[in-house]
Amino acid sequence: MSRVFVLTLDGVPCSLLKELELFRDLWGEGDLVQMDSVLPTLSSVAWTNFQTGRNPGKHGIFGFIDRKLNPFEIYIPLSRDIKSPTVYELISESNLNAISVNIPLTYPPRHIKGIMVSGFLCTDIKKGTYPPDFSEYLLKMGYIIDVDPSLAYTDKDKFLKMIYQAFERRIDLLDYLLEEEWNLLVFHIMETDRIQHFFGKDDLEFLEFFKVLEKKVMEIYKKTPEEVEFIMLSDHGFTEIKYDVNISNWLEERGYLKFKDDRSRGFNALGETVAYSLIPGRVYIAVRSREPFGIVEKENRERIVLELVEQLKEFRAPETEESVFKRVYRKEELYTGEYTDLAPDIILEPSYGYNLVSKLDSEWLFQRPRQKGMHTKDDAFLFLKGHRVAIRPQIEDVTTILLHFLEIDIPKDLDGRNVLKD
Amino acid sequence: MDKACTIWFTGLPCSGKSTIANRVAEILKNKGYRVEQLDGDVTRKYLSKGLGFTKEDRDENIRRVGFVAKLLTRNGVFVTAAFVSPYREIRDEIRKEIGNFVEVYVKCPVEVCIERDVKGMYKKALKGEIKNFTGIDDPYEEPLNPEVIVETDKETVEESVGKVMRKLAELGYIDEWSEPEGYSEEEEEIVKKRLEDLGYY
Repeated sequence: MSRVFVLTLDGVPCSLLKELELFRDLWGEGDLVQMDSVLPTLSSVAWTNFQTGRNPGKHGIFGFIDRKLNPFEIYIPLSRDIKSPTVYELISESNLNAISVNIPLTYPPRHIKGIMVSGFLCTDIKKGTYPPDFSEYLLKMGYIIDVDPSLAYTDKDKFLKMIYQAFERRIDLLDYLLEEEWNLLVFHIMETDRIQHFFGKDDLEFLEFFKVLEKKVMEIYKKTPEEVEFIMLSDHGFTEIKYDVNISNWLEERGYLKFKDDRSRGFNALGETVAYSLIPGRVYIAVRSREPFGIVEKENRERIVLELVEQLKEFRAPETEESVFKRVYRKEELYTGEYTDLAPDIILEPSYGYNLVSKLDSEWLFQRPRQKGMHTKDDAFLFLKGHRVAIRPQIEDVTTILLHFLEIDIPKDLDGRNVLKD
Repeated sequence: MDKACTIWFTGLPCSGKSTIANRVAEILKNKGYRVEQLDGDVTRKYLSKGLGFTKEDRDENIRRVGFVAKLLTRNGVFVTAAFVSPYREIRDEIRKEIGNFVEVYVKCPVEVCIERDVKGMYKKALKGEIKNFTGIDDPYEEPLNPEVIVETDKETVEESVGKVMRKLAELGYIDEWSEPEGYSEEEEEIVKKRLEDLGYY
């Protein structure tokens, strides 16, 4: 049985690695390939695919926020809302040691055999660390869970400084953990995502950060024992935003969404509504007696979905004449499993440059973007040391690969495939 | 000596008994309790080798497991036992034998268990390649008064584990059980702000 080290770089596009020739020294040591992420393309969803090896229809996570029904409520899903077992449980069951650091949606931390340090959206190192004693070490070394993104709008220098601080502390921790006992080490770098939200490829700060990243990752790689299986991946790509597009406003303009009250009151202000949206690009039919503002009879849901899909496909940006969406999906086309019911009825895959938001309190449809970068589904990457990849992978395939390396039986209902050549 | 108990997980194959039992055992160990885990894979290899799956053999298997669990429990060791154990009578028999006995009914519709089919056993049973398979051609008798019922098709693993741990605390076998914490109100506001600043809210 092998030991496995998975280094995860949030949001690093495969195309960027090739363009900037990053990690060039690694390229000859294995396979570096482009990988598909998930829809909606968000870290919480993508890393849950990775944690469970399953699609959102089976693990039940569809975004950083979601809606509860009866009564209708917007909430922030936590690790306990993941509805299928994770790789960490499988590993603990096999009596193997796992260390997981900073993977999104691991808060509250699971009590695994090993160490779990929660990632985004954990706010308290003590509460986010298992076993709790390990938090003392983290606090002592000045570990930072995440940078404060509000600084990017108010003090960009301070924001950048914090990114480097968080990154350096994280690398120090990784250095320490490499020497510990583990069968699986999963270690997540979040700063790669944060920098791409607020800096573009033309910014010197952007290029400098990625050079530092490359140097540090290569140092870590060289320290990793030869016999350890080394996997590196991202959960999505990034591209420059041309426009923010407000799907709630699109629905309102066409009469699908109506306000009975001041729009600043959000969902509480909705009146006789046919469809509503959650960020990014999730559209739900508002069913009578399910959503308090819903007017669609259950038996008409399917018809409305088809009607909306056709209209959404035609949606173009007036200035560029480009289609706003690369594809428009019904949930049945994307997800399988017992929690597909919880999924949005329609899922929008944006064209590059069109950042989908759902703001009930804003009246604009298109707006110049607040940030520089947005996520892309088809440009994540996967690097495997010493192995070749047979087919274009999807993020949940990585779970199957690492279970294979650890010689753990692959559960029958996993969606991840073993994409290794031979 | 510490007051320990046997936590007996019963339910259909692939209902999630082992997953929950393992988590409970892990948490108990981490709290400093002594724990032994018993399940079909281990006992059928060492304790009950040669026994088959007729009702008589199954009962005998459970009786032997119950005997071991009794010895451990009376010596202050927590036992997590994950067995299909489909027959009510034998479960009740070992309950009496052991005394400190917490029965956890791991409830899950057979259709969902078939879909999970971790080891491919349902497939074989449905083809008729395995006989006396619980849920297919052998009955499962639900517990009438289990201490805990978990519904693994409706609950997350953590929720089910929480139910068991709460019951252990309630019955005085462990000191206390507090749920893994979520956000305080203040933290929730910070999180919402972060999500908004990143454009995720």
